Amino acid sequence: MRPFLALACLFSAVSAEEPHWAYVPPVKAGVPEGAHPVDALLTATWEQDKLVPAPLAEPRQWLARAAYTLTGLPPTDGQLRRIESNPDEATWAALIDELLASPAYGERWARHWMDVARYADTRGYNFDQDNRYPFAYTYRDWLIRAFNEDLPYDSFVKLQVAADHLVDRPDHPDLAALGFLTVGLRGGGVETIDDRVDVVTRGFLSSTVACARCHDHKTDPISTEDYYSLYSIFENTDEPEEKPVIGKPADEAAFQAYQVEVGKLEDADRAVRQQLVDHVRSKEALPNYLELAWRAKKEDWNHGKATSEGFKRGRLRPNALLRWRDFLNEHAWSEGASPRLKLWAEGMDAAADDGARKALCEALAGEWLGAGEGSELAGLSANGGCPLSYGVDRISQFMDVEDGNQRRQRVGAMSKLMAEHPGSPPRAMSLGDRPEWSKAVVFKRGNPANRGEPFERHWLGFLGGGPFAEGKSPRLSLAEKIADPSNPLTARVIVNRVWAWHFGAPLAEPGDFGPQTPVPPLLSLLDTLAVEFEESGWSLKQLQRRILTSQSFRRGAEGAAENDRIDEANTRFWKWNRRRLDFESMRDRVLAAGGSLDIGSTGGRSVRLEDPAADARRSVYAFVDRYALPGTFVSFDLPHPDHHSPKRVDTTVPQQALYFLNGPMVLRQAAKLAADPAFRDLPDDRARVHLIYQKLFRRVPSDDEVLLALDWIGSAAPADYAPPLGGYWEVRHAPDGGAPTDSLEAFPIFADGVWKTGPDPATAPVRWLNAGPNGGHASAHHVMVLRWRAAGAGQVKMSGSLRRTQKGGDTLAWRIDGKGMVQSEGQLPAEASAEMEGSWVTVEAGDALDLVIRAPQGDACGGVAWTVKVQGRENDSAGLVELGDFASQFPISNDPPAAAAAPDPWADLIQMLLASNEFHFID
Amino acid sequence: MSHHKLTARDIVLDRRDFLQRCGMGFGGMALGGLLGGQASGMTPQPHFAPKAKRVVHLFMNGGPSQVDTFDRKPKLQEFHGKTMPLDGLKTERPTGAALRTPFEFKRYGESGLEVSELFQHTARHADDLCVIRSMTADVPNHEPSLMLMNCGDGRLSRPSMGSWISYGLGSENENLPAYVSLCPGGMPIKRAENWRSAFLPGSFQGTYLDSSIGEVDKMIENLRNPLSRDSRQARQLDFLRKLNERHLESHGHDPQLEARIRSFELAYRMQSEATDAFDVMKEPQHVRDMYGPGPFARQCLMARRLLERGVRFIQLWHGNGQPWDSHDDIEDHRRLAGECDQGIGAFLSDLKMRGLLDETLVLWGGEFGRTPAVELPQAGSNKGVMKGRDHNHYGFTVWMAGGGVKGGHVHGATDEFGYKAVENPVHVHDLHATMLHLLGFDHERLTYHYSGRDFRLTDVHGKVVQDVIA
Repeated sequence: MRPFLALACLFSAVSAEEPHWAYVPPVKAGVPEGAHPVDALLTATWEQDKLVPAPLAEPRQWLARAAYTLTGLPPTDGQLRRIESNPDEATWAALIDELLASPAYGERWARHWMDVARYADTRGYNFDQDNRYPFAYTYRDWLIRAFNEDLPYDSFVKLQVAADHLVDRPDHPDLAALGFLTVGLRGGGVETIDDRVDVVTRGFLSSTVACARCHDHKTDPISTEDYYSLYSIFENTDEPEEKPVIGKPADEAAFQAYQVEVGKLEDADRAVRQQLVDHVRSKEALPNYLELAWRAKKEDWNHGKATSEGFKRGRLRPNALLRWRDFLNEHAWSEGASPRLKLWAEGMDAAADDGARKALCEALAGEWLGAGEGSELAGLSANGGCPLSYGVDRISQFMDVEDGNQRRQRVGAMSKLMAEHPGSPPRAMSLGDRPEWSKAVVFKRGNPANRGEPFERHWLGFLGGGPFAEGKSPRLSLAEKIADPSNPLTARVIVNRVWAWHFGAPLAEPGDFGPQTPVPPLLSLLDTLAVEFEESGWSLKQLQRRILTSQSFRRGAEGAAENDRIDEANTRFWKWNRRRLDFESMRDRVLAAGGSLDIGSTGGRSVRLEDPAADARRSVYAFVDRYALPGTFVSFDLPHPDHHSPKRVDTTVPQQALYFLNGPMVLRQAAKLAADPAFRDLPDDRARVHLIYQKLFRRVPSDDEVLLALDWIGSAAPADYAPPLGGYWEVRHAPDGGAPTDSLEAFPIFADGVWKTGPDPATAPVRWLNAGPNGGHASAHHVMVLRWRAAGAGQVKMSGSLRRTQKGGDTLAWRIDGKGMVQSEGQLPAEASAEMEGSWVTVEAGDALDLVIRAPQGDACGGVAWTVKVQGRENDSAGLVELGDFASQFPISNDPPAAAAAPDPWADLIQMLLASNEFHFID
Repeated sequence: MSHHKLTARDIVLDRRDFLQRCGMGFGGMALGGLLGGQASGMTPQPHFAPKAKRVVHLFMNGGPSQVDTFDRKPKLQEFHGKTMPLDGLKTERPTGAALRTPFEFKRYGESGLEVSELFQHTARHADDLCVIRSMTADVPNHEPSLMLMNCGDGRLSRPSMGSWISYGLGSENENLPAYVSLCPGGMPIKRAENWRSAFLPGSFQGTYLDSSIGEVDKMIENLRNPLSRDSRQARQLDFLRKLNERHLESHGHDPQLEARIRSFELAYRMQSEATDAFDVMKEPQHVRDMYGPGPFARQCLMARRLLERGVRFIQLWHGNGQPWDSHDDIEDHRRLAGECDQGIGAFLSDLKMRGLLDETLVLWGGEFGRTPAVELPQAGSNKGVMKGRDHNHYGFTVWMAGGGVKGGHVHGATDEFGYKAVENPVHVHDLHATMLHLLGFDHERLTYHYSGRDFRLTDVHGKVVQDVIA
């Protein structure tokens, strides 16, 4: 093994003559009486930097910004009307309050925090085991609730680090907050702990404490002792094997059914363990265990040797074998050994050959298994170290690799049940402190095998240091230190995040508040908001009210060109940062426009977005598989949940466009809107365009826009919207008139995989006649017709083959008809086969190609096997495709299949409006 | 390069024109770059003239045995069935005596490189191969070794080599992903972690495709709408462009809006270009015959088509899970090599014929090698056959070809049994450093700033193996 990799911070140190801005408590800047602090402070910097602020945007844009940044959903028509008719401060403030009070607010802000908390519904690679976190969703739901209830941020922090010390009962719903620690990537013991140190320190403090894992931080005043103080806190935690239930499923009957299923799995597991107990105590295995235990001692076997030798004796379990050796060591070979075992051991040593030893072991085993109560051997059996004493409770210790594999399957079944059964109650992904705390030690150069001297755990040195309080969980102390009003980072860090989530850019680098990050140009604004935030009782909603009521939030996205020379990147917020909707708001907006989104139900298990049923659910409920992150998430910049993410990257890639050109969800929503009767039944196309604009953009289209849309609809090429060439099969029959006929009858019965005219073909009204996917039987003077009916227009041709399946009999005849005209025909004598090919025929929807099978000589013909195919193309320039295959498309109903929705130019138009920039950018 | 600012009216440019104007690669680089924001600042430039421009990694997942392929050991035949005089090297499972190779070795080419019969097609290119017989990794387990080989760290979540290279070089074809990972019928173990971008932007993550799927439009998400028609979609895009142009004019020609408009043009072209790139049926029959049957051969042919189109990093996995993991019976290597050897040989010939080999660095190997010692049977992990080999990270073989490496060259050696690298050992970090060097990068300077520090593929390790460079 090479030495553990040393993490290097490759920067030169910066001098730290002045205290670093972020380590000094924030102070409020002086602001004129009655002025809005955000506006006053920004105006001051604009004046100083000679920046001309952009004029205020349209009131409807204020509202769109507020709605998307607070709730992730478009505003309602009513809200828009209110702000447009009364764009005054009172209306504006009332709308902000309304949005803050909406349950959608918590969903939006939980998702932001889930980036911080590297939320995922899976643990990462887990060999062949189920890798899901079935209860990660309870953490997500806790976040939604916490935001909606405006849980004070200091409590929000403390519960996520130490809820187990702060709740008063073991089923308290706040235990779910600990998911913050536990939903991370499981990369093995050390990595899992490191991940927790990292998410706590970067998440709450924007500090890269994890950089000090191998050596003191190269640029920040963070020592390895700081890191390992925190490390040891999380090292001394355990996650309960059975996660605490924190609620009841809504459906009591489902809950009962769930418990029955759990009982079955537990019984099955117990039965397997009982079998292993029986094996260890069996008269077949015991002599072998004794004999090999003796050899294991003599030859000093290791586990590998015990495994391979035990395997040769019918899979003795190596752990049981080595336990026997150790037990016998104590009771057969040692001083004060049991007389009977001593006798056996001496006999074994003296025995001449394997045969003699085998006999000795069989004798002892027989005696032992038959030993009566009170006997010497029975006494030994009761000794806890004796393998014979292992019952179902402890027998798992003897499981070998194969047992373990099977056990994992049973555990997998149980976790599947917990994850999927509708009656499985919600549980918290909690953890708790170990009863005994181990000392903190530094792993030198990050190597767990190279431990330094124990030291006293302490709070981060750069934030004051000092030992944690006595008589209290250090983890709780850590939580309190983070949430302490005197901590200079905590309020600043969250205020900065909230600002960035509203304005699209932060006041300070959210990933790092260490000395690498110079004084932010708007530090006074950050600090003023941070102090106000603490004074408000850590109320996020109050902070957001403050930010949104500023005029700065309402500036236009276009500003004076001369500003670009001074501050092109808009670090002084002199204009609105126009930006694309993030993935969640984008998807939710499409679904809301399509009328699919159910915004009434909050919380619940995660759903896979590729499932059309998920169209009803907001994107915050997406199942996030960190092990196989869906391509859509990657394309749309969702941060990878293996790590805490301080901010999202914003890219524009063609895959995003493909999602709108071809993605099934977008197509479904466009088609749904176009098929909506309220839309279809409108009196004219102009009204339709108006309705679409209203639904998608909540505005009236301009005359130009209406014309553009109408032109486009009017010039749609009918060929583009013809139903695609395809078809379906019918199985029919009729008396044989010798020529094509359209008076065909359907078969009355489909049973045993064939169409027929009576339950028993021998006595059916049309004797013997039957047809299955791969063959059937003809009937005298009757025709059987395998008909392919076109569902679109194009050129098609039928072909196939026939083969007689029985010896001898009457000659059959076949014919291919196209649109009622004979195309080709032939005879099929006994034991023959035939290749059939029709000719090309141009069809419209509804036209038919028939394979007709006749028995003109009689029905002593036996069975006939067939394959029948139809190929075709829509026009001369299109490629040939196979359209029909009778066997694979065999109809089991006489009704025509439901026609696929015909393509509709309106759906195409709606799809493009959904794809348009207007739909995707907040102005 | 002109600094012409794109407007909606300029949107329909040909690809070369666009690249000349913008000098950027695929995806986030191409379009993020247009925003003039952080994304454009992210592109590092090569530090010196690259010898290789593209990489193909033939990943024999599961761990191919060196002593049965490219590292002949007469001593092993001699010691067959006997205990080898070695210090107890611990591998994953119990092993026993020496197990001779059942495969014949021959000398090939002017270099006289010794290769076993398993890779006789590949061996026809002996004089192009640069065989490193002294590879070492850290542990004898698949998962950490896969991570080490792909991402430069066995345990931590780090970006994969392909992500680093895409980050460093971008793509030459914005209509295709820069980094493609092909695996027939499933994924290797650790799945997408093998081609993750970790903290690098998501656009540098490998695009995984199941190469066993016949229809190309099912390989790439949302590539096609089978129910639509080209003419219909073209009209839709025309409508979208008109909508967006109006919007753009009333919104100050914001480059973000322009970038998004352009992404639709790219996507539209990607539909046909990607379909074309992956469609090996477009190759003439004699070319398909040269590659031979089976999914791996098909992948090799796809790889050549992708290389021609400027894809930067292509990984070809042997198959689902860990096929080369021959614990039970080393004879299984015959089947495995049979599945890929002809394709690899044809691939090398084809690249050479087309003049692509010089600037394409081909790497062949697994996450580690196998023990010369026989693996002992165990319940649940071995069928009780004593003919297989355990994992071996102490010494194993990889070879490279093209892309500025010496041909017909052998670097380093294992001990006389082929167990442990003893001469010029090359750790996986050194291999990475060398590959980056061939691509024009100083591995210590290809960095990305994240979470308070600069990260690199080789972390604090890695030494360029000068001896393999032509």
